[in-house]
Amino acid sequence: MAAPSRSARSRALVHVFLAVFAAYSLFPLLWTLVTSLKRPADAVAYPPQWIPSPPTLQNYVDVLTRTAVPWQVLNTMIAASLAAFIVVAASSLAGYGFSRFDFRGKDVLLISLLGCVMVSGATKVVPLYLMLHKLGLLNSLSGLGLVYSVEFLPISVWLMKSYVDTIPVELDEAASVDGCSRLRTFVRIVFPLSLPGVVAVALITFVRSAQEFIYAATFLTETGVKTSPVGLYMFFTELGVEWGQLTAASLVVVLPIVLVFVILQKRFVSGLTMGAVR
Amino acid sequence: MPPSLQGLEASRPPVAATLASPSGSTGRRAGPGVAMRTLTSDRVLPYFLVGPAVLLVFALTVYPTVYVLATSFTDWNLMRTVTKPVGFRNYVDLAGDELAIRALVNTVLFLVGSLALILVLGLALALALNEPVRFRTFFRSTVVLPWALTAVVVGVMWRWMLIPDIGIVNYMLAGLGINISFFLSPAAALATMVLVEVWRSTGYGMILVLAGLQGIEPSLYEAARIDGAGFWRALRHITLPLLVPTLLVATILLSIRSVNLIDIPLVVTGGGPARMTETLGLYMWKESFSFHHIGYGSAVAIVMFAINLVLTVFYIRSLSRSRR
Repeated sequence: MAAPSRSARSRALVHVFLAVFAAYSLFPLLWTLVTSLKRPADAVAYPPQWIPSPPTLQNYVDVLTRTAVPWQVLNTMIAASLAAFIVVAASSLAGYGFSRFDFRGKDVLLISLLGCVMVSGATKVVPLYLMLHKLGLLNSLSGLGLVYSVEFLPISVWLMKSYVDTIPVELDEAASVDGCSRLRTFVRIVFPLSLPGVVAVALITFVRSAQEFIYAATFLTETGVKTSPVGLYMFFTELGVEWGQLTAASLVVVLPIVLVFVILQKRFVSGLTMGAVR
Repeated sequence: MPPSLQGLEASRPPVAATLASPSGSTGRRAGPGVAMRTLTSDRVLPYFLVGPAVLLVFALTVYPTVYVLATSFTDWNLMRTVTKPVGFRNYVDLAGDELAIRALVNTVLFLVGSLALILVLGLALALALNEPVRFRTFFRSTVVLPWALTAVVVGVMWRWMLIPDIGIVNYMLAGLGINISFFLSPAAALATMVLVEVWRSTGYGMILVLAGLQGIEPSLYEAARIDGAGFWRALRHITLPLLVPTLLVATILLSIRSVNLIDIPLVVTGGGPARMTETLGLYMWKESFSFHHIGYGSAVAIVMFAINLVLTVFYIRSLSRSRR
């Protein structure tokens, strides 16, 4: 499993390195939490207080009751869930099709999907804006969800194809002996067995869509439909920003995603690697 | 690896079997009509299965790309009503546009700086976490956590920690007699941008490397140990050579990400001071949506597209090579 074992001293060094790096990764989050628990005057005091005294939840109360942040978090969840739903439906069907059938143009389609993944991103902002405008999907969470799903579809199709490849084809044959059509075989056997892949695909799409900023900032300009990254950015660029409130709002925005991430961390990580290396 | 390959190989025979022997094992219960139906549906069905995904992706990728290319040859400006073709003028202007060249240089500097740090740190972390250390799961989640945060929150956190006069980082550095103005000069602001990106993405790099490490045959290390090789020799002669394909893929994935990145530059420096730290993506976005120069912005997008294309070709090549 591991490389040749090392002395106790180098083992300790490895632990020190990991501990330092973990502290470095966590510190910005902790400092944000500390700031969010301070009164306005304490937040900007110098030298900074390490522990808020007295701690207050007032910033959270303000963010939750007086700002649009809770609604923006809800908007984000709607767009990201829609994207995840479209990706799961389309990529599991396509994964089944690419894995179990031989058809003309299959390899070309698979490679061009991979090509699309790389082209996507910033370069498409302008035409997508115009397309959504024509379709009447500007300022709409469904339009945003659709665009997000396309960002993650190619890699998800590849992931689902390699997942279905690992399911023994004998199961399909047994089903067809029992009189199942190919579609029924998919619904009854292949889809349930590829559930771990489906979860990974849904998670990546959901978490990454919920983080997205540029598309959301460009396609959603009306106040009511803004997603939380956009709302937070506007909060952030206002003059005379209140750091206590801003840090509290930041934590409210990331909390749902961090929870999903921590709970399903293993699946997320395996999904990331599957998507990247295959 | 073997099971998935087996699956791939095994996925072909049944179709062939149905074609060759309609009265064989599959068709035992069914009459001739059913066998016929299976045959045609197997020819048409796959297109219906892959159709939705493929059409959706092509419609929202290929069409927009062609559209941007066409737009880049016009002087389209959202503030004017008339748009006319201008040939290659946008590209000629771009070649002499100091801000655009600055943005290209910044993109390359950002790419090289963040990539080098992410790969080195990611490799070190992956090596450490590939061993049975204590709290392995905790360390792994902690290092990856920043990757799950939206760029705007990352920006808020770091802007707050690095804020002049009252920021916590300068407060801690004051003990060492150091005071850094993180956003004052273009060079410092660009370096800050790199550091924030490294903070956010090292965990992702670590995961990519970890996947590669786990694919290395443990018996190789066993043999090395018997031959008396220490950790560093094993790293140099076994781990690193076998990691080359993984590192290559990680390099290209991270490069494509960096080239297209808009949100981190926007939230960390906003392109400032004085538009000196804009990257290509941010420059393109501002030209298109702040200054309404859609035609000119499209030309910048095409330059980015060309860079992506070159990287993609490398990506597909290195993938097919590492498969062999």
